[in-house]
Amino acid sequence: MDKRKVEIEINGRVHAAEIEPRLLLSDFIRYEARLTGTHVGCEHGVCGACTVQVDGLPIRSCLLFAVQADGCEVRTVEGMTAGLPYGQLSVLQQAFHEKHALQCGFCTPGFLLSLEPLLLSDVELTDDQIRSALSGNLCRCTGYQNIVAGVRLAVERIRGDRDSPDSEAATVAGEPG
Amino acid sequence: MKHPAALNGKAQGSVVGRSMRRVEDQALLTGRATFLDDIDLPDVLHAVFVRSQVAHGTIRAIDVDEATRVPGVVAVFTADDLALGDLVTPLQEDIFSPPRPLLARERVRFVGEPVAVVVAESRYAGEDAAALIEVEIEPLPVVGDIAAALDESGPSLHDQPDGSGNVVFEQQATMGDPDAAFASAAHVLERTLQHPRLTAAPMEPRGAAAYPEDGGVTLWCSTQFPHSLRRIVRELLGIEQVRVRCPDIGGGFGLKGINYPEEIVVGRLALELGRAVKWVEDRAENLLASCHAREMEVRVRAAADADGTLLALDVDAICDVGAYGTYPLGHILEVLGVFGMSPGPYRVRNYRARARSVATNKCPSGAYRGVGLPVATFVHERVMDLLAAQTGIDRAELRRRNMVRADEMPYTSITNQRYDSGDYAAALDAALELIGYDPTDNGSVERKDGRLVGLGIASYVEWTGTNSKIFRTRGMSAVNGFDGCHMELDAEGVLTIWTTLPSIGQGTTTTFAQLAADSIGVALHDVRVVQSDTAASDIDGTGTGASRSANIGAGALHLAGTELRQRLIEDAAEMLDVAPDELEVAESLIVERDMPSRAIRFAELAKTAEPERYRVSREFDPEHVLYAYATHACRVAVDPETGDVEIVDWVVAEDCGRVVNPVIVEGQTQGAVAQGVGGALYESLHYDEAGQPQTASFMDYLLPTACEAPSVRIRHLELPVPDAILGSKGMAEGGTVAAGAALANAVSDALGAECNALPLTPERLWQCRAAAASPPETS
Repeated sequence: MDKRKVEIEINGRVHAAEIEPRLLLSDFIRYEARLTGTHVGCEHGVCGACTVQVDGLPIRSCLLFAVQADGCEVRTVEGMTAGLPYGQLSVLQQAFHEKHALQCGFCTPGFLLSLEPLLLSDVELTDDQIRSALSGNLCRCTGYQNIVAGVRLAVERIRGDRDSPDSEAATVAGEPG
Repeated sequence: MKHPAALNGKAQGSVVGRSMRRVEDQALLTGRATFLDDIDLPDVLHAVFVRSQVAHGTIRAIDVDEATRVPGVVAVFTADDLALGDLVTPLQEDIFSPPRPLLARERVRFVGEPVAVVVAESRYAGEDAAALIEVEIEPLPVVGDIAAALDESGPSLHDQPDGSGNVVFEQQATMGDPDAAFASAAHVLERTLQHPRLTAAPMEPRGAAAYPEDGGVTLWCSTQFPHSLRRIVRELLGIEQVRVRCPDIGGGFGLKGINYPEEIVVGRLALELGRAVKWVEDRAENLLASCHAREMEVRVRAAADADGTLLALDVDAICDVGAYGTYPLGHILEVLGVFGMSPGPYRVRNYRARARSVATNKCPSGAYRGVGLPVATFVHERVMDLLAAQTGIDRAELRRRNMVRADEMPYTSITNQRYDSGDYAAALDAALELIGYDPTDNGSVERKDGRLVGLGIASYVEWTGTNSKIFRTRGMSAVNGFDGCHMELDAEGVLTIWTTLPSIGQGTTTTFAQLAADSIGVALHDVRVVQSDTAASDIDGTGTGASRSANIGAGALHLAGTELRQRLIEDAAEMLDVAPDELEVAESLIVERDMPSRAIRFAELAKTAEPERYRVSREFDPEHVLYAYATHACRVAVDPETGDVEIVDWVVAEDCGRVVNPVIVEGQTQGAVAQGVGGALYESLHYDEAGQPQTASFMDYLLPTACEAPSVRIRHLELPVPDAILGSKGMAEGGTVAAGAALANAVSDALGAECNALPLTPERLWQCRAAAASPPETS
């Protein structure tokens, strides 16, 4: 199979490689870029564990070929703490930690990348709406209850800080305040 | 360093019981954890298994020529090439244990059975080659279900010495005088209950990676049972030097408590090729060829007198265990759970039970959270509701009347289960209070939106922390029954702890540290609980599963920690020239009680001690099994037109004794309930008559999403547990034990029609309503 040259920016760093067209984006991220925080749970687009952001949109990296992401900006879980002091977590990650929203952690990166856009929106969020927003990601450990609580806490912190004029800006998604 | 004065008034046992946040979260949240497929193995080869596409047949030929010529392929192996013995689970002599070839030899017995293995430089090349391997199989008639398995005119999957066909296990017993009880009872009922075939489906599939090391092999494996894996690898590969290490594990739920042919083969491949070899299954393999569970048919008869007292129970359970047993638990455990625990938390003095496991051309069936107890609970809780309907007695009151009372503990059940402690009625009452139970509320309340409301109760008792004595009684000799802990204090004062119970997401990296802090007096930030590694010391054990961590794992840790603490105190006493009983320990500091300025840090002691002095190993094999219990109650709203079931409320009143970390314990219950809901409403594995799997992806095997999982309200009872070394019973399987029963009862209540088969899909609900509208002649 003829190989193709691609340049894919992941978390701000460009990865150039010569790859087979059939190489999945999830495999490119994990093996070419050696970022193993993105996990593969089903390879048929249902579980959402492989969710990353491509040009700002959450997508299932197991359903995209790497060549389709050529020239795109990809964001993975490793990018969420970029720019933060060592050991500090983003608002969403910190909320997950405080609310025990993860157990084995295998599905967690997929949830984080899926949820980030929700936090930045202004949409009013009931628990039902949060659950609906989570429904594209499977978790077998937590039963989702604490994930809902984690999302709610993160939303309160981000929106609360945004609304408050002289508070320190919350570090949303790893961007320095 | 903390000022010694800060220790004054610090209560003993102050770390256990707190909802501490987890130390393992940082790595998991930032994508820096190391799951099996994340391990960096230089120059690694990839193993891809070729699997049978035929459910039952004779292997005529395996053509690997084309496959070996695919660029990147290093080797292809079949059973003849590897020449390894079969995987046989050691059971009692009189129990047949179906031998399982690591790679199929002569015969295939289920779709998905490994037949050959390709080793290649990349997984893509390996899968290309695997697709080119031609396996010529002459089909044999398929034994597709329990009825076919029992049909003696059909084929037998295995050659049993006594010619028992496909019945690979049978046990019968009669206790008391059930016949007399049935003859004289005011009320008798008989039903057949059906439970579907399920699978644990952890989000991380199975995987193993091996490389030659130290004259033998090191095997990384996403396994709950590393010491068991080491034992069977040693046995089948014929080598002593085997090290099994656990990475971070993305869920297990019992599925990874089985040691698999693929894992053993990977070890062999590494030795054969002299290189690192890695195998990671995909989801199709996980759903088809790892481990299934729970497929059972149970015929139950119950007798009660006029005031609802249970007089007798008669249970006939058949479990479809698939093509082979599973190592190390075998093919008998699930059905033994029904045999032993169908009486549940109730007083039953006349009992007849028959338990059979039958082999079929399906994936082997074994452990999944609850193991047999979900079906046992389904049996006794449906009986309770059915008796309540038949006698006209309120279903909660009926349970209360029949429950073993707290003042009867310890209570030995008719099946020789020693219920050690507990107040079952208190859990029942607590759950009823939480859900707002109203005895005058007679179900099937129709809401404004046309939906029918129902309430379901499910009470259960479960064994937790099975000891070696019980495993020997069951004849399961490959399971140790005890567990171990090894700890080492280094010169910086850091305490590293290994146990034989791998962390699989249940938080033991944190809870074991909490227990260590209390047992030893070490500061929490000085403790590192690390993942299981068979080379850590000489400790042996069972592994994570069957709710062992909070009692048995904790027990081993406590024994080791107590010994370590004693040594530290002895050495400090000598150094400070005081008597040991004049000293107190907390926060990694040993202080003279009456003169707190005289103190010595753990690190100081460790710097000058002999290397072995602060290294301690202990194993723990409890004398008694501990029985946790709970009552779940749920309210549902059922759409009679669409069969949609919405869970409106779910409450749990549970007692696992002393709760080590409430948030973690509640997280386990929430997760278990969600899994149980999945198995009760959505999940079901199907095969057609040709033995072809119909549910091979998450499109068909429906795991609950956040929209299906309920919010759960939980109350802990925390009664004293006299037989527990630290006051805690095991827990975490309860949600899956109770959910099917709770939902069957709730939906039956809502519809006013009996639901005795799971899952409660819309189609099933339609069938139940139709059956209720035109009941058959027999009850």
